[in-house]
Amino acid sequence: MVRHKNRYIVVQIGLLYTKENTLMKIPHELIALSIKEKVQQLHGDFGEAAIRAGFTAKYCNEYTRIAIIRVRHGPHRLVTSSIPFIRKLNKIKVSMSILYIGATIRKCFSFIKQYQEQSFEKMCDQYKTPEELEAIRNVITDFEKILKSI
Amino acid sequence: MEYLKTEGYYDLNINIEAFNDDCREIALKYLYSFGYRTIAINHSIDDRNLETNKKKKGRDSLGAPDCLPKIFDIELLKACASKLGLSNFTFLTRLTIIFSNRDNIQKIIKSPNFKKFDLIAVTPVTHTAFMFTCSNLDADILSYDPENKISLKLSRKLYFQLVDKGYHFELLYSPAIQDASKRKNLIHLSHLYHSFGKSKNVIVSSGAEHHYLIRSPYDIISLGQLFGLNELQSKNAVLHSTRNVVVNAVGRRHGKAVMLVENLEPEVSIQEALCAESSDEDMNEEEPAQKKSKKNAYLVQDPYTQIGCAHDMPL
Repeated sequence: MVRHKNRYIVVQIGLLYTKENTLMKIPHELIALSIKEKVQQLHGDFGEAAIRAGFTAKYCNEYTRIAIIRVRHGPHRLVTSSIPFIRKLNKIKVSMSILYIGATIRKCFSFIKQYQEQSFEKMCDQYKTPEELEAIRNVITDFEKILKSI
Repeated sequence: MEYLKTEGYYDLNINIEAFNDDCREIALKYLYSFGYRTIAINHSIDDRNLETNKKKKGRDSLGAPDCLPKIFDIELLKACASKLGLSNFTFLTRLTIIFSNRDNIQKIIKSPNFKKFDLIAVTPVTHTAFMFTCSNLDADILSYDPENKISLKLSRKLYFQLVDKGYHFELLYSPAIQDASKRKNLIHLSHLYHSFGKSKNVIVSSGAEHHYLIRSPYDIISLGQLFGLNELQSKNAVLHSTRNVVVNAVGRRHGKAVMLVENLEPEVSIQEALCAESSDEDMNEEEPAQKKSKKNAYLVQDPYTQIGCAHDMPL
């Protein structure tokens, strides 16, 4: 049995000129589109065609601004090399940084879980009441559904 | 039988427009100077246009109208080539069927002109059409539509099913020269072939509408880098696999086993030779490329004929 190898890239979208914890809604397609544009710019038609198979991007969490991108193994090098050059998502200035590149969704899952819990602890000092904390915790750790949809 | 002895390089898809009266000679010279020795003239037919034609013609005449285009006269080209002094030039005719519906394909196959074409290529547009191609449609080449995004759901199983049936997968480079989106489609498809079937049975042909879109075979070999082919594969894509297409096509038209009987000793008188041929089926296997025919073929020792081996064949 031969299977396609995929690579899952976890990126964080850092916002410039806005506060750390502002909520940001970004449609899934926008991330994929801007990555494609950048790949086209850096690697040309070949790059864009090469990453086309099995390419998706999902925005994971509004609180921690994590997105996850799936590409085929091989062309993922083209994607990872062009992600640092992304400066804008539809006129919003951003900076993207790669947090993790995994071969399975399970690995990504455990990484994101760890990451979210860390960032939750950082957020804790802003919210005082336990109800608020619980709500935030739920929102932050609620990413299984999105991972499953990839 | 002349098609068993074709020579390379091959370009199995050149549109008829490239051989219009005004540019025929230039096109032939151009192709010959690049080293092409076997070319196929392409006629394409779209089953979506077919429907309307059928209705119109149905009203006019009761007899079944031929839905296929008239075959381009190869003799014209041959005459032109001999006038220019281009020897060893083989011309084939090819039909590309773009279809989305399996009902229409039956009409096309049954039409009397269908058998006159040397090569048959299919371009399934929908997934059902593609499945139909995989399961029960005999053709030589699986082509694609360079203008639209590839909507076919390939899988490893289907790919090898097609390979077993003798299909070859075509990549067209000349639309890619013209346009960025066609270029992307080409590269995307070639990568799909690479990942699903290790680019087995891939052939590269031009699909050119003008002679100036044709490139030299050596350039195409280096172009293979983009399509995920290694050097050997890309050489085979214009030489070996394409030859297999032509040989397989002869096989498809005549039933699976193809044999060529040839007298290699010139002294034998014609009468004796005729006796030898008619007395029994003393035939020589002449086709190293096809496994199927190997199984069926048998060799009988005969004083007048020699066994034709692989080295008798070109390439």
